[in-house]
Amino acid sequence: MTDTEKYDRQLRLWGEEGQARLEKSHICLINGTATGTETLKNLVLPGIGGFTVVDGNKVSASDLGNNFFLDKSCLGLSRALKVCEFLRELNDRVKGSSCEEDPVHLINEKISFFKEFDLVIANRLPEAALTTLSQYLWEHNIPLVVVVSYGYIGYLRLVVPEHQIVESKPDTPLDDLRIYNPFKELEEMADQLDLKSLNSQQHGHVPYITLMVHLLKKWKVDSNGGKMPSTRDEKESFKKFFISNANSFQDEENFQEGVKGIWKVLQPYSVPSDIVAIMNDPKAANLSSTSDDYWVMVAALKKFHETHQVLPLQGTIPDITADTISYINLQKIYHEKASADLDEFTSIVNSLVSSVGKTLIPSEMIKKFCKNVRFLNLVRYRSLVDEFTPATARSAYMISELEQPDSNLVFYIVLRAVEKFNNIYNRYPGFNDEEVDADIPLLKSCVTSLLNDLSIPTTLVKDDYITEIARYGHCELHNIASLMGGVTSQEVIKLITHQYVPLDNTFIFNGINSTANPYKL
Amino acid sequence: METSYTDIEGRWSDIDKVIKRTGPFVAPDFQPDTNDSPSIKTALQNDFKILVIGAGGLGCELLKNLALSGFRNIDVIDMDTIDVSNLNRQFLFRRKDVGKSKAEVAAAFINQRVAGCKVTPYKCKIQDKDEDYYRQFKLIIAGLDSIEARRWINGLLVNLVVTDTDGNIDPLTIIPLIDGGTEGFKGQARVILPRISSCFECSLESFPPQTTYAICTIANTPRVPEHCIQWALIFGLPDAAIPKPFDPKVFDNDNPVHMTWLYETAKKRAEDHNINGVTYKLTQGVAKNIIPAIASTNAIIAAACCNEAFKICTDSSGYLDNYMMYNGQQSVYTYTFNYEVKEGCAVCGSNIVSYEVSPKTLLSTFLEDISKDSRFQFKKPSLRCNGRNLYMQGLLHQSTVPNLEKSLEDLQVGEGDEITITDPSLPVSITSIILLIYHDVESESEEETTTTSTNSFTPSVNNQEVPREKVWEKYAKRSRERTDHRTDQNQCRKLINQILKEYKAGSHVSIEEVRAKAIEAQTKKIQSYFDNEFQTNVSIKA
Ligand SMILES: [Zn+2]
Repeated sequence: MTDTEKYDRQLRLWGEEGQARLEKSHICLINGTATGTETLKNLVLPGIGGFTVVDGNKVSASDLGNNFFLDKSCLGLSRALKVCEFLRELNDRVKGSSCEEDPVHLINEKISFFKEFDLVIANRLPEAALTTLSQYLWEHNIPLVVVVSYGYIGYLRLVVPEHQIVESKPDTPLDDLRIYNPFKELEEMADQLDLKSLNSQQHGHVPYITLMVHLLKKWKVDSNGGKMPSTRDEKESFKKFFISNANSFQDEENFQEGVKGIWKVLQPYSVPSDIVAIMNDPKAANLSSTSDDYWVMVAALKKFHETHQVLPLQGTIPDITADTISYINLQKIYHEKASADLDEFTSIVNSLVSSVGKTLIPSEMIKKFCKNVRFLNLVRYRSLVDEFTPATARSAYMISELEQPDSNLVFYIVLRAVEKFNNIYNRYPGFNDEEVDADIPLLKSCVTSLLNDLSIPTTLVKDDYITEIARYGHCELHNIASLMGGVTSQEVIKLITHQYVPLDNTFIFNGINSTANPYKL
Repeated sequence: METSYTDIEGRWSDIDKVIKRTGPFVAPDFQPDTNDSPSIKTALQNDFKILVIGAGGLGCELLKNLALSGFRNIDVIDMDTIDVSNLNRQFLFRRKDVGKSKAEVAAAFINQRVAGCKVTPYKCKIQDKDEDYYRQFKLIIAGLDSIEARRWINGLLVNLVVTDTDGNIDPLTIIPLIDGGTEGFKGQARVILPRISSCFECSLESFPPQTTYAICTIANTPRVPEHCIQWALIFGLPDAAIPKPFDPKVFDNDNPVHMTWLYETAKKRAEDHNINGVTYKLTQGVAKNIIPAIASTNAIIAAACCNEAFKICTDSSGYLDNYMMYNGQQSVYTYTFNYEVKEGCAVCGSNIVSYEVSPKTLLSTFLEDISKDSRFQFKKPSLRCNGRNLYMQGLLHQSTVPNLEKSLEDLQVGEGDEITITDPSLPVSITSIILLIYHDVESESEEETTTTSTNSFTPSVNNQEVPREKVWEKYAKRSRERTDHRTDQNQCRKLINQILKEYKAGSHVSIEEVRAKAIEAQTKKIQSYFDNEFQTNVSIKA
């Protein structure tokens, strides 16, 4: 039994390369609560390299009511030690270690402890310690993930200075077919098409790409003075012309496929605006020997685009109606053009690399980048300090979100106020049964002062939400912990593998009615 | 039930906060527990019995979540055994457990880890249990990947609901069904209150049978590696001229020898047509219809399901109304909405659907069409009309085989007749009725007549016949939208007839097998209705 078999169902998503990145990563968890262990469970199972749990607590009775990675025998022992032991058992390939120190103490006295990790997950950290940690990790370019399960509510925040993505893996990627602006080889092949000479079987099996390129050229030369159709009327007229070339439109699937996507095809070629933004980023303009490979390749992409006004061709075509031979031929033409583009792109990369004095970028990496140029992505997160400082907080955005009926953002406000409450009273609102009623107005005044700091009208947070959060008394329900652990681990996997697109930057789950929203705070 | 186990003081202090305290969002019936009268906790621990169907990726999570929600009486049903590829997410299993019963290993693990919890495993099919068995549960949570099993349990639970002569529902007979499903980074969780909210059958269309490549493409114009793998499965396997190191009747896609043969046959086919990309991994993916699965998505969906279960049993909060979709691929998106009851639902609504068809349609084509239809998705249907058996499974099967090549007309099935259908995908007591509406196709050749019958149907409301004009309008629109190539379809039908002849000649491969193969062995060529719906909603929200 190999790991390939064991990991088969996930390798189909993130591949060997994503798996290798996971297996190299060492992740730190602050506090081995239910939310913490549920997150790690979903990371140990797919095989991260290692993890370290930092937790100064001893296992208490209430841990046995919500934490699956503890049992009766653990009562009174170090929680870091025991959850580490129980989690390690899930996957013998994963190394686990524990640190029994109080994380707040560690942050205040020995913050360099956190420098060794590839990512830190913080859970149940007081706001002051969290802020200190986030600044430290930000300076060291280490991703921080903050997760909270509070009664029926969940909160998640990702903090990374810059996250580069080559394989964003969009749900429905469209192939770059260049029908509007065919490359030479494609145009030459389409020129050779002689529809009249084909029998009906062949006629119905000419790939629509070839049909389109061929007929577009014919139409523009014969009927539009050599210009591509640009107005609505011209496009309609081309569409009619295209259909008129079918022997029987009802029966020819290739012609139908052509008409289906005709409006998209008749859009002039353009580079997506987010890719343009990445190419124009100052980091691509100012390369040095310490530049990331990503930015060197972006710079090369910019050069390629300046020369050709197009991006390197991806070279894949969708499965479309065609006979085998025409399809394979067409595939070959795209593939060869993509190879030629890749060769040229690679030589630009190599010359940039040598001009700035960097080590060579592996050709496999260049190839992957080149194949994904239309799906590049870059996320620059806001720091927690920017979010927490009233002068830089996104108050206007928050107001517009809070004005929506039943906005889940109210929970963000009340949970922030809970931290203020904890800062003042050194306990959580409603923790003790006898104090719930008395804590509600105290929590309300924390909400009011937070809203005033942020210049948000206090009427936007209704009392019911404050009452509800006080009712929770800092409790951690296993279901919410498990759900948040699921979302958190998924985002950690995206950050570590640099595949798919992670949340930017806050997620709130409302377990009262099972709704959720992402916010950019 | 007995209360033999006493908990350590303070163990449930987190749950106590929400069951001992009231709040602005609790359900109307909520009565907080007091120390003297802990009725919610007693119910959780002693009175309520919960059933988990499936002990796989979702099932392991469900059992853990229920145990740590304070439930103590849990049954789990799963007939499967543990495979090594389960270990990346089914965290109650270890390498040493490979080959053992999922239900048994999962139950033993939970019972050992969570003191006081008693999970009882059943290694069997859900169909092996009777109504009385299902009646004992407070609610049922399904973590299944099989549409068929979900339809079955849904149908059964809808049928258990008792209504009096005035049509009032007896609420005590309602057993909520909470259903979860995942695929890669996507999933959905929903609450079904039988006879009150929409049921699983109402939403059958959102789980379309995976669309098969036209059989003629596979046979004549293969283009992508998947076509070659399908060819090896559908044509290579029954072909006696192709040597194979095993008996094709017992093809097993878990057997490496069989899979290697399949891979090599597909590769050969691909080489003959200059197609690249047939790999062992892809062959496995296509042959087993492998769906990617990861721990995180299962955790999210199972937790959403159990959160609803806990709230239904404690009244301590609001509720999911009634469907949540999840997609974690690009950012983290959810969409929560009310999935509405479908009129004409075979299970919870009127079970009559009008179906437009040509009288010249062969029974075999008709069978093929309704099985493929996303609204029915029959597995092995039996058809009766006017008190006669048209096509039967089981003992009467052989006697009805000759009918397959007769047209509806020849079988004396008339306009407005109702064809009653029973199928293993529906519980025994539920039938689906198809009301036939004939359309005339004077100008077209006989061949074309048969092909145009595919998929044109209109649901009727409460047995009222839909006006012919309306049906025709709809039909005409649909046929305009159709992208299928008729020539291709004619080729397809010839192929199907060929397979039929083989069938009659006593060849070992049955038409059901061929059809099942074609439907099962799939790739992701077509985006499902659901993905589109989801994308649309997400883009509106964003
Ligand atoms: Zn229904």
